[in-house]
Amino acid sequence: MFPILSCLVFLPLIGALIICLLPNRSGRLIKTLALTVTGAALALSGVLLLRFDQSASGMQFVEQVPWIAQFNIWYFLGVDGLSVGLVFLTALLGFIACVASLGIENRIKEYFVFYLLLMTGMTGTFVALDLFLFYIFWEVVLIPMYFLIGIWGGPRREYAAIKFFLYTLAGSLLMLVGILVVYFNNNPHTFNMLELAKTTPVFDTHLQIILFMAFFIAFAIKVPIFPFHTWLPDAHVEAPTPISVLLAGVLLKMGGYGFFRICFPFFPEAAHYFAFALAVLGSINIVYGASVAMAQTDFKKMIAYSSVSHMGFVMLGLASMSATGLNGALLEMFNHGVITGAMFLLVGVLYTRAHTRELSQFGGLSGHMPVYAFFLTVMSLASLGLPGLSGFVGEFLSLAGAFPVYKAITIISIIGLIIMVGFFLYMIQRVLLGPLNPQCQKYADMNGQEIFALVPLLVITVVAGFYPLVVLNFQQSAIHILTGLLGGAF
Amino acid sequence: MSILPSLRFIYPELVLVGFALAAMMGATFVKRQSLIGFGALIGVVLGIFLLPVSFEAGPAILSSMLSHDSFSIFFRTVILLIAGLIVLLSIGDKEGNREDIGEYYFFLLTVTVAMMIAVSANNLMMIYIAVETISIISYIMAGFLKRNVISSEAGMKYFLFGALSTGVMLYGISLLFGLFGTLSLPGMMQATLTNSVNPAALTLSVILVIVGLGFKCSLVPFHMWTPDVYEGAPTPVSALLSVGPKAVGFALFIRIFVENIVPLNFPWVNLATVMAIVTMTVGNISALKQNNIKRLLAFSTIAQAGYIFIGLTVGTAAGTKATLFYLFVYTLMNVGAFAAVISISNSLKSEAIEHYAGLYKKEPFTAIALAISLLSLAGLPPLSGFLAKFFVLAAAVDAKLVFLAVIAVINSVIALYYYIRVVKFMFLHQPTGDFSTSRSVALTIALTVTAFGNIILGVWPHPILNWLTSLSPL
Repeated sequence: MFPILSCLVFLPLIGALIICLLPNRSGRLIKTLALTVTGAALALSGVLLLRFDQSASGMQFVEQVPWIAQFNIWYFLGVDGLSVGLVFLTALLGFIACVASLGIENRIKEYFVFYLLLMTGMTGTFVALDLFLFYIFWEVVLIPMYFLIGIWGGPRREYAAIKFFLYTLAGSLLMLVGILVVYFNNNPHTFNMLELAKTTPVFDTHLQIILFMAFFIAFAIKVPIFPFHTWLPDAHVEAPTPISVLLAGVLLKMGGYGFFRICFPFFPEAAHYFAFALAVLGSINIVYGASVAMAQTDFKKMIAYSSVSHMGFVMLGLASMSATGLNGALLEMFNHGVITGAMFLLVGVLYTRAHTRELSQFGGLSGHMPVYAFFLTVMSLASLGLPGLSGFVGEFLSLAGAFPVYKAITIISIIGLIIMVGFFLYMIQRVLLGPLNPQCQKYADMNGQEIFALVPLLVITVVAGFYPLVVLNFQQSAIHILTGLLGGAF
Repeated sequence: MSILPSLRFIYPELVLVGFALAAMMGATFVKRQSLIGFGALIGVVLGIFLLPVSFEAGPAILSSMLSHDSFSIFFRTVILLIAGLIVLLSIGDKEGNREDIGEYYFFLLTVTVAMMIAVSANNLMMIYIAVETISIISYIMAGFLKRNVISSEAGMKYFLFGALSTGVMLYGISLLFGLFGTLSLPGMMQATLTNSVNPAALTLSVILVIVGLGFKCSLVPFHMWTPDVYEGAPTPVSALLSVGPKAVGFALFIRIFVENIVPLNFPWVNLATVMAIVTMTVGNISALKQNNIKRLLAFSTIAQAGYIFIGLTVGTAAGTKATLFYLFVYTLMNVGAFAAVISISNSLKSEAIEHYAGLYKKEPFTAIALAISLLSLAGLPPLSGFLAKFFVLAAAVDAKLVFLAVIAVINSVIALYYYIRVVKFMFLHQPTGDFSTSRSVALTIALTVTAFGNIILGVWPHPILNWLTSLSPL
């Protein structure tokens, strides 16, 4: 069988190695090569979606080879409904952000080497089914991300890069100890994630609670869940536009994916034990993120905090433990990746023209830049959860799943949703409406390259909004298994 | 067994002695200094080729003074690898003493022989003699830049600390002799089975021996000499001190405690746990403030010694294996870092980390090699330093010492900060001042070997793991 997942993971790595060998000056060639590689990865992930059997339960496209036999470590890849959407999302945003990276003029070679390494790490995290392998890919993401923020970022890039690195490393190293405890407490010792997610709980409740917390901190920092979110505004704001797209679109999903793949199935009893706390944290994320976003005058920071708010819905849906809520949470991760990726691109469009992101520096752009106004309006409406666009479906399902279990918390979260509507509309008012700000007189409307990057995201947003089953059908059977594992614990 | 037939088991050592003498003599005739260095390199390579010949030895040779088990074979190989790399570094170092080059290689090869004997020694008297030989040569080598005050001070400081700690160790050994009536390690094992030993006296003597070995491994609180000596000594010698005597110290820890004395009712785990925790933490926290790259690496080696010590703390076979793997990888990472420091000092004439700004633009190869070494020391996958740390942590978790693993990972986060700071200066900052690039072939080889070793062993550790599995008694 054609090893499609290995190709998806290692194609960017091979691309990076080839770029390493090219001379520094061949900027055009490097960019073409990077585009080809990410484009090929996107095509492969499209093939993956087409050949994915939606009705089958369990892993597909499995590749399993022994790696370090002394520790029973396997090179073990596979996708199911939980990961296939995220793999596609990674490839899609990877390609689109690569298109958006074509404007990079400074240290082109290093940029694309790190960029492609990042792609390998991200894709690998979603397809690895061996805990050790998962950890390696999880960590591989950190080094290129550090450089991408630290070299090509904004004025406070060094601070943001090291903060991101130290925060995530602290979380993931605790997870490493957790992984080892999982390994040694399972008989026979194994890193196999499918074995560890068996219906009968492998660990006793007390141990589950401790291990859940070890993994929780790693994932909570990545998601990020309040109060572990403070790295996010710095990293998002300082990162160059394409990297912000990947940070918000893919890296945050790695944390959410960890809950779906590891925390919940491995430790179902602990998941029930902590469900209420997760719901509370989720609603804090929603309300706090939205409120802080409301107060921002920096466009990008506002979108960054809106991510915090959106990820709150993921937590809320997870905490509900119901099929509806889990479906909503997973769908919200996919939709948020598409919508917020687009929002960061839109911020980048303005920034390349104005070299500022202060909302007060814009105004009245709707008449002056009609194409931009169209994209910004549709994406903002999707992000604030307008029915008919994709953002609504995930949020609605999360809330619908959570309402029967946590009525008060759900109602508070809906208040957060209202705030979110508020700040998005307020932003549109400040950027698009009113008299044209004289400074914006010389800004040209979006060019072909920018439109090309945004159209696919717009199409997905509209299609998945009108007919969400396109996405939901992929994840139904996997969510069914997950609810079985969670329900089977009691 | 009489002595003469045993000699063939120490062919590598004998060859090295021969080359050491030849280096000293040759320096009076040969004008080109790099030739002496390449001569020494040939000696080391010959030693490596002769190692397999000496493999089929019995457990006790040379009147039971040495034992050639798989354990000593592992460490002799590691030490020859270290010696080879250090010779390459010495050839590439332009700051070194150019007058006494013959003596320099003489000392380098002799200390290699002493280290090889120390790891094979099976008798506390032999261990002491070997360790003392290593120490005395190290004092001389640390102060080898005789017109340089800092180097002389380094040699003096190392001597004062070292003389005290080896003296204390000798006292411990004499107490052990009084308790057991023998200095042979297997003999002591036997004696413990038949006689009962006064536990207080045993504890005291064991602690005294730990002082001596702890000094060699720069475990806290016997680490005070490390930063000053590393800073003052010629950089290749710092590199040697950071890996060679350390490997010997850990080998002896395993030989004396894990293999032989731990079975006694000595509270080894408690004492070792405390030492491991204190060593990591002090090393890492002190490293945060360093602005001189050699001082930074000195504190980093202290912290690394703490991680390595975890493997000994747990005292299991898995722990010992993890320690050995870590030591092998540590050699590559640390020598790699020092090789890069030498290459940079050659052209930059500075060891201040701020002066590393923009190094990537000026000397990309060295900067990348140094970054790989540092990130590997920080334990980031997919580099070999991560696997080493992983195995050590796994051994700790397996032995139910989870809190020790947690403290180790918290330390790793602290450590990342100072390792990445160097990387930050090299890659994120703009270069200042002018810079002449002239990297010698020897340093290029050393940097390539260590960098590729770090990457390859991180993804494919099987050669070393299989080798360790084949070490039968462990």
